[in-house]
Amino acid sequence: MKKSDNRKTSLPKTPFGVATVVFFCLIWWLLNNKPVMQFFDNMVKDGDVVWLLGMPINFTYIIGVAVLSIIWTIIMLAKWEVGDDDE
Amino acid sequence: MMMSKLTMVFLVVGVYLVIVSIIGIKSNRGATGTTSDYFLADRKVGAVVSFFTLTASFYSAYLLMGAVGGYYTHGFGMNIAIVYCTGYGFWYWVIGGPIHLLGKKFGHSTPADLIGHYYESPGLGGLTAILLIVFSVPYLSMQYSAIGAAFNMITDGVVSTQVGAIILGGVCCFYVFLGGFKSVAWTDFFQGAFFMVIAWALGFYFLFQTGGVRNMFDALIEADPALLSIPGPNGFYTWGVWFSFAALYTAFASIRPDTFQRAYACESLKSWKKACFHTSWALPLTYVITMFTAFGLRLYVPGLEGTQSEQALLAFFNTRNPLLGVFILTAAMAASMSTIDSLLLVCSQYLTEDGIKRFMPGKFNDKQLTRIGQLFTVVLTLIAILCTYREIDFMIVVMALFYGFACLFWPILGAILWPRGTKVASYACIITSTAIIAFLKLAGFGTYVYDIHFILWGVVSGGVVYFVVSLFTQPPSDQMIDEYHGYLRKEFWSKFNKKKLVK
Repeated sequence: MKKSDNRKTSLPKTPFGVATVVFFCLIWWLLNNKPVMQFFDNMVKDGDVVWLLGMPINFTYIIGVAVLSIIWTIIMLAKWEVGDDDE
Repeated sequence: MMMSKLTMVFLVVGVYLVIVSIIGIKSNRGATGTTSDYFLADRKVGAVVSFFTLTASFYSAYLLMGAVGGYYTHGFGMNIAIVYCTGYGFWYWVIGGPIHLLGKKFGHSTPADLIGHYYESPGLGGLTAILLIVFSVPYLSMQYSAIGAAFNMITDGVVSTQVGAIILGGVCCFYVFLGGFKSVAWTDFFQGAFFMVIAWALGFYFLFQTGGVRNMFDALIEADPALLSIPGPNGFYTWGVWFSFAALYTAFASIRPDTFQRAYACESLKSWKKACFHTSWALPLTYVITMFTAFGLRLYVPGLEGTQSEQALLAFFNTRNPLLGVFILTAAMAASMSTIDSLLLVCSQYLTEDGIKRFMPGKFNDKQLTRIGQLFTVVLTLIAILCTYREIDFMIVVMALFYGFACLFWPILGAILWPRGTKVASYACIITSTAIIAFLKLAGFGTYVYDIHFILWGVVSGGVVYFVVSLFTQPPSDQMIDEYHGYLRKEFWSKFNKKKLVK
């Protein structure tokens, strides 16, 4: 390993690798927390419920983000090559 | 009816205890007597068993009791469980994968081994070991209290909390004593499969009973519209609480002591990848299904408050098929031993390998250490049972403190991801985190400080300190960095998306 690499992280540097890190370390948090989540949560308050796919929209939203995260994880794992035996 | 209910409880518990005891005895037969075999099943655990043991140690009875009660009481806010579970596949892989590889390469078996070796500091390894023991052992005691209380509840007070803890904890100790990680893994396999089947069956049952998703939500709005959004009917899930749960249970949970042990015990990186794959979808979807169970219960058996809501399933089946309800909850309670057995073995491992082996090097051979590890399972069980006499408030503090181990997140990240991280920074990080956590608790700030969990304040502060101090202090030797980061870049990080990073 080159000495100049010692200051860098080992995270994947390919476009999909960078996108994956950005997604799980930043976008995932934004999608699942106050600024964005609150927007959908406010759409079911005060008895005025917005529906989507048979559920209040905040429930649909959270399941939608969950499905996106699961699919992203599965693609990430599929693209990560490992041998039969790492011994 | 009372007698038949009790008979059912003792029948289910009895059958369950016989099964897990047989597993323990069978696991003991092929034992080689080494610490690697006892604590890590000789690092030969396959993908399917790894997945179920990850799942079972995470869920336990909480799924059918605690999570159901959470949805029943707080409604939408409990969906934080779905949120943090969606991160597990990613975090288990990017942290657990390197931990698995380094464990095989250097023979590590605990987080203290990794930190002490990488930072070339036996002192730092020792501090890590002490920290893990201090955070984990009291938490184990708390689990015994919880299982004893569950037994007390299901038997309508006939069996006291202490006697419940002695019966279930005693059997748990018996099979962990005999079979070590093999027993834990195989019992977790059956428990995990059991939870999955029951949880999914109940979810679909309640969806069918209420006439589908839309009908269920319409009825829920009529029952209590506050259930549909944050902060919920009693105002618990503020945005700060929501964020705290997401943070503490997502990235930081990937270095839970039991997760670490499973990464080391897995037979290969390929098997670990399969386990992460199944974890990524099974955990969040099971929570989605459990949400439907809890909302169905909210409609059929309304009015349960506090801990009563955790008995919603029992209350529901009491009006339809009492014995079936007792069967499901008793089995769930018995299977909550899947959390206890994992923790019992982890605590025994820390005391043996991080305590005795580290602080008294060369005094005992490997087989003697295995015997000492077995002895610790008995001692820890006795201590835990004695702790069931403590006040519940004390236990809640202990439970919260368990996540204090998350302050090790940054030094571990340094060892697998950031070569610039240093030994001094690790010391500073651990001391800062622990000091802040202790100060906030002892100074009476409460569990949530400015709406954020007090543990999170400590862990995030530790991260900032780790980063800043690392920039001004000396990292590990070039040879050590090459042995860790050079190796991981070649064998792990460069394998993503085929592009090679190391030329």
